[in-house]
Amino acid sequence: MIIFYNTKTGDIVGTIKGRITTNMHKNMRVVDENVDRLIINWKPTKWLDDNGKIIKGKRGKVNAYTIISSPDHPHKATASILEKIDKGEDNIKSYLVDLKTKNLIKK
Amino acid sequence: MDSLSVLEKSSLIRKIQRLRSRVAELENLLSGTSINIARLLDLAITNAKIASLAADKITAGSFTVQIDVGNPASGYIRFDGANNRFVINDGTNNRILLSPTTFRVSLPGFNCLTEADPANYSVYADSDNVLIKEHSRGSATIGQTTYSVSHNLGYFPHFYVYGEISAGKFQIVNGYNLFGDWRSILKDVNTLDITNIRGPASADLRYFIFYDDVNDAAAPSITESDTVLKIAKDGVNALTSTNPNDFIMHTDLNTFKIIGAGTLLSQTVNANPKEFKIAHGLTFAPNFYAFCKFPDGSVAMAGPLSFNFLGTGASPSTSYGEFTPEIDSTYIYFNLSRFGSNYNVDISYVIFETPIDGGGVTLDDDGDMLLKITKDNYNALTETALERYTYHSGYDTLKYLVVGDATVSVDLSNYYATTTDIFGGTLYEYYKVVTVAHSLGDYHYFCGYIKDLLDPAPNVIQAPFAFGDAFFFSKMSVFIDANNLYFMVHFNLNGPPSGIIDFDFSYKIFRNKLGF
Repeated sequence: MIIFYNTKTGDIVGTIKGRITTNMHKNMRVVDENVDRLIINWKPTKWLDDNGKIIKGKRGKVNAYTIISSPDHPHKATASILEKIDKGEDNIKSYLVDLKTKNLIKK
Repeated sequence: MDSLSVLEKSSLIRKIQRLRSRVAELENLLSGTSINIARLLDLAITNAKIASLAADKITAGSFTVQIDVGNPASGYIRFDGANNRFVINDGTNNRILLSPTTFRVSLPGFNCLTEADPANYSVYADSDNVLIKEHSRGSATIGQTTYSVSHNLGYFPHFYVYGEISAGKFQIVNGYNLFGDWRSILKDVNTLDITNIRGPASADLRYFIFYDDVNDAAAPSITESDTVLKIAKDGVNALTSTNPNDFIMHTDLNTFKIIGAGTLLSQTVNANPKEFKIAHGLTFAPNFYAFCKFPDGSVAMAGPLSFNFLGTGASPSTSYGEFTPEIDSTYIYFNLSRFGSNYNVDISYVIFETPIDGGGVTLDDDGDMLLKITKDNYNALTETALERYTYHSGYDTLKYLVVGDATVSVDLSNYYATTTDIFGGTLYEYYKVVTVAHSLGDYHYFCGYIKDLLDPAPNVIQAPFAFGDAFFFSKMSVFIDANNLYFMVHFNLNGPPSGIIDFDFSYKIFRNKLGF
């Protein structure tokens, strides 16, 4: 997902869909000199074996059958907000980008 | 031996012969020759004792266990005999599932075994999420005239049209527009008319026509190739049907691949007209589509707008405006009219791989653990032009789940206002909205069609419609929000104000969400 935001106000002015950002997505821009962007991909956080049991540590030689992934953002609360937006449980328009930390904050 | 009796000698000789025979069998075994008769204990041959086994030795039986093919770290294919399914993992996520009851291909980053939202799949055959199937496409250069496309399908198909408004810049030609540069109409069941009304004296047009019909009633037939992947709708036999509209997916027929989808949010229309734009980052003008969300929460397709946002009840505005998305090889432009005070909009757009001007998309490194199906005469292992694939699991698709009809029935005795024309006659003004609940709980990509509005019927135009002259006006539109579709008619007529007029609409709602 790409989030475009106003660099003076933090208002979110646009998005590009997708958990995995392709090069094509990265080339897309909102044409406004006051707009910058955040790129958030999803990354695996837990690996499960065939029985649904969590594989401890990072995936190694064990054949992980499925994974649980989350938005790759260092701020836990922001990652949680992005996860809810992805599931349709929240709306990105309810948030601003904190211009200092680049975290999402409630309007 | 001399001291042995005849019987003893005979017994000894038989023993020696048996021992020779057993030694010969053992020698044969060690030299790799097959053993005619051997009793091997169950479990006596363990994995460690088998150096290799040719697959063609397996000639019968059932796999009821899991067999993984490939390197788990970079993706693998699982023949999941224990669960009657076949799964492809891309190295991170399970992406493709084939089972006796469904076929699913999840989008990058989503697990096809656990993801619950069908919008996050490029194919989701648990239910009828139908991929659009291209019938034909074409282009022409015309003056200010009408170009007729004879598709000869015998029914009204879904379509997209783009008209050039300046060198290399194309506009979505949607609906029937009083003041626009271009118009399009399905004039009859075999013809798409595209008209350059007041565009450039020499302008290019592009069109895309689909097998998918406007009202889900047609039964075309195609001749299939020998190598095809088909997923039939519920109740259809994939081995016998040749009707492309019977299929959720049919790889003989191209479906549009979505290479980008996004939003512009909280944009203020503070000029008339107001232009917003994004740089799409491609080197050519791709096929695209767009929607606009207005302050009352309703979302409209591209084209002429009445700007009487839903909910204004008995006093709608008669102002005319437009939402005109345009594209060139660098930007997508969204133009909106403003009347009166400023207002805010959200815009959603979808970009397809199909070029309308220039080249096409060269594939990113997309790995091997994907489902890729090329058009005829292209090699899926080497082809890098996305446009040469009928399907590619790395990209989202347009999938519709609902096709329906709606009628807006207007009682002419229920006018909301009257005006007087220059001859002193009375004009009666009508406004009515019919609501159809879709209850999806989110804003979805949609198409609305207006049927038999123009003479001679039957014909179909894509909503919205706007037309008028010095005295008369008529506007028809289809809007969507998170739970409903709205079918609006707004027009005036001279009297007497009696009788009933029916306006017939059709619609398609897609799985694809608009991101509002």
